[in-house]
Amino acid sequence: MEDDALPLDLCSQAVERALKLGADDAEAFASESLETDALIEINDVKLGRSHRRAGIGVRVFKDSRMGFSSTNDLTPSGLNRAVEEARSISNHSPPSPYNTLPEAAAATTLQGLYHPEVQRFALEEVVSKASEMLTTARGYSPRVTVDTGYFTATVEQCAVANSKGVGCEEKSGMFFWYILGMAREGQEVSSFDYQLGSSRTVSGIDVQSTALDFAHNVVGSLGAKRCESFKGSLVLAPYAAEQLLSPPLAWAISSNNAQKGRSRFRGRLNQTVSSEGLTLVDDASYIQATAAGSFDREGVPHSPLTVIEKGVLKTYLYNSYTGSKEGRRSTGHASGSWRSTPSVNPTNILVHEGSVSREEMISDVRRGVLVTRFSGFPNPVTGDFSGVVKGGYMIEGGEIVHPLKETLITGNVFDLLLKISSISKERKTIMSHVLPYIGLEDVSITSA
Amino acid sequence: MPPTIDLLRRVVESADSQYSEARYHCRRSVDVRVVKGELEEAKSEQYSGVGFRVLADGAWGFTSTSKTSPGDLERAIGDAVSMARTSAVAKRKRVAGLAEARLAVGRFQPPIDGPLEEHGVEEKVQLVVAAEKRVRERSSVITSASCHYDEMLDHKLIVTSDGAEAEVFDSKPEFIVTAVASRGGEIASAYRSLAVTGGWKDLFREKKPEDISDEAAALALKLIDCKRPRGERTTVVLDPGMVGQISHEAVGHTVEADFVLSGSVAKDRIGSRVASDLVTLVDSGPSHIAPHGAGTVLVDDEGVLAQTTTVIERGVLVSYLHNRETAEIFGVSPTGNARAFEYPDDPMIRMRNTLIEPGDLSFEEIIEEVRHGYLLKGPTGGQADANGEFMFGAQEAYLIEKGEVVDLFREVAISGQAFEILRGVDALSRDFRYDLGAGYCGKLQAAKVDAGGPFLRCQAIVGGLHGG
Repeated sequence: MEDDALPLDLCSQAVERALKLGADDAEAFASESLETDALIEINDVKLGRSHRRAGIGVRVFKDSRMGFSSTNDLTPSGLNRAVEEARSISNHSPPSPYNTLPEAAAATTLQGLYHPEVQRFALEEVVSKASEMLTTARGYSPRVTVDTGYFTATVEQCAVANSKGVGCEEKSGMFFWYILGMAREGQEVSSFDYQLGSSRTVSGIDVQSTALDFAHNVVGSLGAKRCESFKGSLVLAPYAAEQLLSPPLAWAISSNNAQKGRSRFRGRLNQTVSSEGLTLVDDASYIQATAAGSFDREGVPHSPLTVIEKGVLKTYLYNSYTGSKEGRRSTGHASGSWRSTPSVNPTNILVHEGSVSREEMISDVRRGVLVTRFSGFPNPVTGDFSGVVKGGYMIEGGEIVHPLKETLITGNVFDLLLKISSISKERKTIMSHVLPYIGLEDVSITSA
Repeated sequence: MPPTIDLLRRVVESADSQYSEARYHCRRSVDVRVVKGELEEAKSEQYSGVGFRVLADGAWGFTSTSKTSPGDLERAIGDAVSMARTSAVAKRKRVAGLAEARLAVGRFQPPIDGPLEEHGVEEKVQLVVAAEKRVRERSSVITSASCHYDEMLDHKLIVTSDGAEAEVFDSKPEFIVTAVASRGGEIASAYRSLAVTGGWKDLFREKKPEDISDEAAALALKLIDCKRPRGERTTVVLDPGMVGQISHEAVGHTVEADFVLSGSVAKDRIGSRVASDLVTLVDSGPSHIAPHGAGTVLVDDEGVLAQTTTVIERGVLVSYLHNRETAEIFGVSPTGNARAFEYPDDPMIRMRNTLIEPGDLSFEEIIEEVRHGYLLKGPTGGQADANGEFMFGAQEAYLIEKGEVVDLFREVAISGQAFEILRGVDALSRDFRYDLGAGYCGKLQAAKVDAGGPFLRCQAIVGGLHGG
């Protein structure tokens, strides 16, 4: 880490400076980080990389008008210039009665976010982990081709201070790894697959399992056949659930989108939005997932929030601005970096486990498809989607019969939520998500 | 304070490596966004630092630092050398070397009329607020609008161990207005945008901000009453924006040499006929044919003088887009396509201004010969695969019957295989425009690009954007 001014000191200086320039209120968010990574490209190590980054973003309020400026020039003159620019923008931006900052509140400091061993992890070890992931995948079968991948060690210290007494700081560390590629046999090329992993400790690094899952998936999808178009069951593996269901859900539970009329959950509070089996919690205290932290972009303490309870929508996610529009407090979901003003986003999304095993879910399917990955862009506003099943398997009479190719699924995510028939006991952590297998009924499956 | 070019030279030469490169990049940006009368963003930013890239033992190392004292820079390049050497141990295939290139020495700046710094942030906030308001005031049917202005002012110093020594200035503003009309459950949205490499006067030379607001509003109001078309394979006339979209997304990415090496559809096709002999497709660093293309690059981020690269010449594939490493692999000269978005990004092969050269017909002559078909205008995004298959939306689709433009349809998509479409091109107009400069191209990192062309006639599948 850098040895000069700490992020929290910088934030306090910026807030003080803004008040001197006549601001009614001010806030600063700063972070510094050290990131080391090794990149893989086409079955080989491509590049070793390291970044030291630091920066600060300053929000200034004057007569209900807001200005924002950010810089990574952290010299006194660089900091001053950022504060002055934010102050100047605050003279001219349109006023809003909802421009407010949170008051200081007691936060519980989360344990286990940072282990010094992450910072001590040497470049040689980063390269060696990337290399181990690559050789494990290639060692599974000569048919495996790794297109891209990386292993990263990152340590970040972030801080936020405002003129209402907020002042907090936190250090976190994490290892991430990622592998993407396909299998080839003769002229046949399998579906792409990718797998991700993360850990906050050295002992939790398991690039081998990630590489083997990936290799198993791509080799398993060789010899794929088409199916006839039909309506049947869908078993979404955690990755597929993350790609298909999560983006529209994250969009729909944002208060900002609900207030602007672009969420399908607008006006649906305390109403049923999914099958009873679904309980969805936003939980920044779950440290194994990547979005863990004690406080949000505005310094509001995080606390676990049940968003959907047994199918019923219990709340939206708020930051201070959207909260103030409804005369309520932030739920601690201000998000973003020092480079932008706070937006609204989930932290870690956890779907509660169900009561059946993955095997039982498959054996209950008369005719359907197991989807390990989904490629397509669901429209977050309407929920409409049309996309390609990647790494899909045909299920008949409770048995996986063959891998699928050129198979499309279409429908509406919000309608699908009402068709959830089962949720598995097994769950997988994928970056900031903890997701089970999700069984759905009555889905249109089309052969392309 | 930026480091001096002499300091960068000294640091680059101190590295124990086969090749080393320093790139100081200071970006000052302004970003203002208003949605439905509410300010979503009003910010200014300075983001500066140095990225070092080093080739040692046949492997690459890259480091970046936002601190630019001699001590910080020496530490960073030392780290880059150890990154490279450590990677080399695990690397199977060493980097063969870097191709000879025309390296840039001196000061480079595109033409800029009306420096953006002379217009304060206040003026930009007021501009966006007024432009958005103007759209909503146009009609009660317009229920939402947004306006976005953003600009990037770049100052770079690029020094390489083999002789590049360039000071580069750049200025890229853009202005986008969106109008949303709703009536009886129907919603239609329309956008208009301006984007250039240049100054304030260049941005608003052909159209004023008010024109952009009025055009977006008028189009949304027109579209709300339009039907969606039935799907069919038919004759289409594409406007310069649609031609740009296909040139960039569906053709351009497949000829980036790194994609070629990983097996794109253009692999092993140099010298083959891939398009009708009317088609000459180029990717231009300096703004070819028309000035101020938003993707203009005079010197790339490896210090190579960016040129105009002919990719398809009269229908024959003649070149890929290269950096120095891929140029060496293919035994050709680098084309100046290595670009890094911000200082902590390592240079990758990216496009610049991608275009199809104009022909010699008038727009009227192109339409006149169409018995039945569509005129498609204004790309609205979509997707393209490494095999050249694509689907893009168009915001306006005019039915052409017996040589006359008749009805307007909306939410139209065009799909096909890029090279098949290009093989079927049978007419090109003599007008030319860049029209894909708003927004960014994403490929692990962002890049400002532009694309365009003339009006082009071909055969394609036209259908509704949302199934049907």
